[in-house]
Amino acid sequence: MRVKKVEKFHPTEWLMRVSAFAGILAIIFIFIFIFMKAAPVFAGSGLKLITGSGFDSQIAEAFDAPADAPLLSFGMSGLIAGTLLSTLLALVIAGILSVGAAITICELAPKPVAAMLLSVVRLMASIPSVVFGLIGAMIVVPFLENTFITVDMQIEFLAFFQMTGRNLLASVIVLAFMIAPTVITLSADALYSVPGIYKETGYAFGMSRFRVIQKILLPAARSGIIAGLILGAGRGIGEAIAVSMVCGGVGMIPSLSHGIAAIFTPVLPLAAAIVNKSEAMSVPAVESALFACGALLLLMGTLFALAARFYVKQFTYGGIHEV
Amino acid sequence: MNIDFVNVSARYGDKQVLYNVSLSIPYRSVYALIGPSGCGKTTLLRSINRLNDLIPGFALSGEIIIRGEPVYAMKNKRQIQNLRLKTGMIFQRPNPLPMSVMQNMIFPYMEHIHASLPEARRLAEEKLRVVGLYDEIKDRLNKPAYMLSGGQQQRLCIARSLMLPTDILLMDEPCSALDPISTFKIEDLLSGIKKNHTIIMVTHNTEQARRISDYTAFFYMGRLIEAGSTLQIFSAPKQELTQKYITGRM
Amino acid sequence: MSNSLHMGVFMKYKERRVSSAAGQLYSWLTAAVVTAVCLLILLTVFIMGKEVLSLDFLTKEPNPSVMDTENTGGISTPIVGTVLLTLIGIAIAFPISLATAIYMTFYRKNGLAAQGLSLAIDVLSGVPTIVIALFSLAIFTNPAFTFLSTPVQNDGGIIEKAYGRSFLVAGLAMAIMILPFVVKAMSEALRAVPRAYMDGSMALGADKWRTICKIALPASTRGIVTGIILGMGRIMGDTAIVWLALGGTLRMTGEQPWFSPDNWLSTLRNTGSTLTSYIYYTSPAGEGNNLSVAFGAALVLILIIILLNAATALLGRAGKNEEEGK
Repeated sequence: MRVKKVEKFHPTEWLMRVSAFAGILAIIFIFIFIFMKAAPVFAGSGLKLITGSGFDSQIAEAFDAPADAPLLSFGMSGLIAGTLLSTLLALVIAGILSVGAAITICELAPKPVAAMLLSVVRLMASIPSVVFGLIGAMIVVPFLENTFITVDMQIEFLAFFQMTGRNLLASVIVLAFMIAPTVITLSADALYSVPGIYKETGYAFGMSRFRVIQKILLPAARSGIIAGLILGAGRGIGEAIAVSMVCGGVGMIPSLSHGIAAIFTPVLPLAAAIVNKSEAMSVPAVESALFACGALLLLMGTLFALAARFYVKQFTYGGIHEV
Repeated sequence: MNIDFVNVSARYGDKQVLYNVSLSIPYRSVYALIGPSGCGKTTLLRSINRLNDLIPGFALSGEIIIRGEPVYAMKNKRQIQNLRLKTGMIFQRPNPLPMSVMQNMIFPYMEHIHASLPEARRLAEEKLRVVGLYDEIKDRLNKPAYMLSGGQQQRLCIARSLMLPTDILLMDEPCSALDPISTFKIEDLLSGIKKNHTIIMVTHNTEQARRISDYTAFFYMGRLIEAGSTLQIFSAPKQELTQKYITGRM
Repeated sequence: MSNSLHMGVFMKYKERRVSSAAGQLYSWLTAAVVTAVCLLILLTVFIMGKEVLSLDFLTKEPNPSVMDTENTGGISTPIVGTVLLTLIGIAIAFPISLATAIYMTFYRKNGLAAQGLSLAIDVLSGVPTIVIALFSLAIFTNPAFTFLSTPVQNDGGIIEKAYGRSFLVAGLAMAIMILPFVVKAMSEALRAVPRAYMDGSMALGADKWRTICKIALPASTRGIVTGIILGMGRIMGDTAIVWLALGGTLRMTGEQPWFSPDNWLSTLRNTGSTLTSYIYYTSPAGEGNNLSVAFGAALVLILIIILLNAATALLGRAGKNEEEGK
């Protein structure tokens, strides 16, 4: 029998109830303030903000413009392209690396080796982004410069951009290894949570170990792996510091007409742009432009977060694993 | 073409679960393995297609001979995969994979055999008829298999195991999670499958063993106590333990 | 009947074997690449960083001009900055996260408020840290928040806005950043408390809040602490917020000496640096371009984070042992 109890009044309980909603307050204020500060540039640029280009020179002009006639028209297509391209390519590499590594950890490696691999992944996840950037600038950038980029190539592309080791590819490599630990951890979780009976079923059909992994475990873990990739994408678009150290700092759109050399185009993703141009922030127009970058990032980040939420909910309540 | 167990002992790590079991199972019969929980009958069943190999620490001595081949002398992975392929296995809980009914049916077939998709579908429909499922679910073939009832899922799993060129069917308490009507349907279809399969079934249900099996073996504490025709075991058991078990006094 | 199919002729064994081998090779190779890259990073940091590591490096303040590569000073204030910022951030985030986690675990009904809260936490987890840094700049430069940083006066000597960059501001931004992650970790810990414990207490007549305080919280202490450590690690590793909201000055800019107990408020209301901003500043990307001290600071930072990780692992192991002992 259940007795309905009279709940006593606890001041601490009410304190808890009130402070629980700080999160809602924070996200609302973030949206309000970012968009408020970005409003002048949104109004001044219109749709050209997304379609136009020339962000780098516009920032320089806005910085020098007189205070009573601020320049508020910016074109961020290069920044958006840089963000999407670097994240997408990094995601492809991270995905390829992560699925394989997760399979090794969950299915192939003997227990002690798997435990070791798992702690390596955890360790990698906790390396600060600035250290990734430092290693990128120290190792990846010179490596690209010395191995792939020749003087002839630099001369050939001088009309378009200055080709150095700081470019799209460097950003992609650095981002890929920053994202990979997240994707590996979530993929491994998903593989671990596939019911053991599926595996036995496969073996009982006379399938080999890897066929069981490939045809039964991976499809069953697909949702978890995709959720990991979505989270990784969110991290990729928002990464500012590490990317700003290796991206080249010029908001160009890599052009397919340059062939494979397009991956050596210097880029400037939105998040990196905020860091790179933050010193010019004392000028209100520049400040507003950087907040516009932030607003675009906020929208993308929210989109990924909602996608992950929707996907995980489906994954959890879809009942795919119910027998 | 019998299945012969010769002096089979088995252990998981330090824990011995089977002691010197010797038994011969005639071809195309239904053979029931009965006994209280933990008596080793499931271990014996899963040893036949070497599924226990997946469990760390499992070790078996003695030999199991199927179709004249010593199973535990197989070293080659391909031989073991072939053995499992020709030995269907039905688990305690229905185990459809997370895909549609039709995909479940053709999955193991396409996995092993060079065949076109229409061929596989045709065969799948034929096998679904064998288990009496086709008419019940013919409009749901592309729906997820987990949407079927438990009994339908189990019959789906039986039909799926018939897709491969199996001649032995191992059943590990296939009806323990099912209601009486589903149980009856499965018992019923076994008599049809028996025509070209040897069926070895672990069961807790002595009545079920009495109803459908030709032979029965009684296990207790990892030892084979008594084996013989079902008629003899249930009407005139030679051992007192067997007598106690089948009359429910244990 | 298919049962008479002739084996061998129809079997796909051969092609399966090749693809299996290729798949295993791929899996092991990717695991090896990830491991190798991780070790390469750690090894590089260790080898490059240990050159400059000395007692002086750890205890001296950085020189204002890191361009002078001969005389860069140490990293004492960045270390202190990292510790300070972590403590401020966690001190703000801990009570709010715990309250949110308790509410979401034990009070959430399918009402609008609870749904909104869970949505807000999810969206917040997707906000890039650089955006949170921008946000803190936008809001805390408001003159009303002068108490968090320092006033900026216009030509006429009137306070027109707050500077908006200080330990307190950056700490608040950090708290917002880690909130969703800490909430998730704590919710998980609270959810793991067996229902029977709580029902037992309720059956004895305790009301809900007392049951949560006396039963659920003590039972999930380990998970809650793990959540806190997770949050601390994130704060220590972040650079974007430090760069924009802490000001990115190498030295403490409050009243000197900054470590004097009389000046504590001034220190917190002014700018400074952490290990991450120090690394960024001295890296080729910043102004310093002084790799050896950057790697020295990176080594110290990674060692601190590894120690934190080890603490979490120990906590987890202790938990496992306790469960097995039951």
